[in-house]
Amino acid sequence: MSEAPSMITAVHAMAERLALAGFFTARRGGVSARSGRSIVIAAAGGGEGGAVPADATVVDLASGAFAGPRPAELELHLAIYRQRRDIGAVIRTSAPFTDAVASARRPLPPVLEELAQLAGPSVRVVDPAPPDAADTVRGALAALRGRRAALLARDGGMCLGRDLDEAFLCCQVLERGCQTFVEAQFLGGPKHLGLLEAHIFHQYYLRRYSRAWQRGDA
Amino acid sequence: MTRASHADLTALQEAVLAAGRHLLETGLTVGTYGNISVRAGDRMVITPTGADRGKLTAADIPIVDIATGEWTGPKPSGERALHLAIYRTRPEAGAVLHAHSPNACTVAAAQRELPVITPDLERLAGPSVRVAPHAITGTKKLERVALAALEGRRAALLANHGAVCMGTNLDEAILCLESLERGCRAFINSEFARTAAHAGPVDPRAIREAFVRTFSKP
Repeated sequence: MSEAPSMITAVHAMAERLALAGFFTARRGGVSARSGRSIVIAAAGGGEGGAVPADATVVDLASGAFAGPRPAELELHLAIYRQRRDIGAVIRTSAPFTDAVASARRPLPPVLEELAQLAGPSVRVVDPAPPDAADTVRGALAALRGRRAALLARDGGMCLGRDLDEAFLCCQVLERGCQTFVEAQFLGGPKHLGLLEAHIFHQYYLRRYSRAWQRGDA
Repeated sequence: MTRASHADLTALQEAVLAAGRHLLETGLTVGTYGNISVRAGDRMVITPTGADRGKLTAADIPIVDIATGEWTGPKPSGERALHLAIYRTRPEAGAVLHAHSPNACTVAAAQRELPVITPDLERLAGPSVRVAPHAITGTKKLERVALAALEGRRAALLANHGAVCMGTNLDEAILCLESLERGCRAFINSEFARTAAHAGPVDPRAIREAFVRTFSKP
């Protein structure tokens, strides 16, 4: 499993970036990326200074075999990569407004264009169940159908991307969308895009606007 | 109108890059969202499409003919039509910014016209900041509704999308965006305070009694 040293570095760097940007708390948050037939996964650590990311672990995608301690929420990450061949990176995020909307168990409507582009026509909420339980994994996959983000009731969000940078951008846009959703309530409530329109924005983003991601120069 | 010299254009390309970094560092934009242009005689220099601001050099900043829309260099921002429309109809516009800054996004999603909330906003943007109805990027409709919202103003919100600001030069346009962002934050907070007013005033005697009860114990 020494096939992905550069991906281990990349995942570790992303874990640190997420912690620095406030998308991880001391013991919550995780990031993984696809690397050939394996995935590399790192969880938020529990260090004294707050969110210190732990070392990354390489896991075989087909068998789920790994060396060392079991990474948190491994089954959830594996299930996403097995089902979604378009996905190259998964982030479990915990940020103030994402957590707020997840706690309120409110599905997030397409309040902003960028949210529709990155996450999809809406962001669904997965009902609570113990992490890694088969029900949670099944529920998460269903919530992510046609989407790149989902909220887990009382447990933050989940953002997908073709690569780590795109998944990170999705975390930023999800947090911003949740902030807009919450604070627009003070102004009489958000007036969101139509679902069909939001779906078109998402598809347009996937096919056209994001070609730079595929070229690898974005 | 005059042709800007090569040295002038390079300086403006550098200025656009620096402004892009500033907007990223101050959290007024994330990732590739937002775009910046400066008028250079009968041309404009504008950020390219879909590129990560942190990795650009001056040579990556395209130059667009304002009359024809033809460009040299990489493909300019997908929002170039909006910038061109402003330069064509607003002779005083020397720089245009489009950003998805968080508080402006919230007010734009609530589709509330921003009243004059601070004196600097009035000076930089005008007597209010209107919300242009939602229209898809790059369409004639977006140009039309944005120009209408900008009439007699130097800033407008684009529904469910973000903000557009202009100035006679780049510094003024950046100040306008910063002041709009602060103004939107103040508006959200003031509306929250106003709607929370029914909670009733606090009785200072009750607070004193509670204080004495709590702290007079041995």
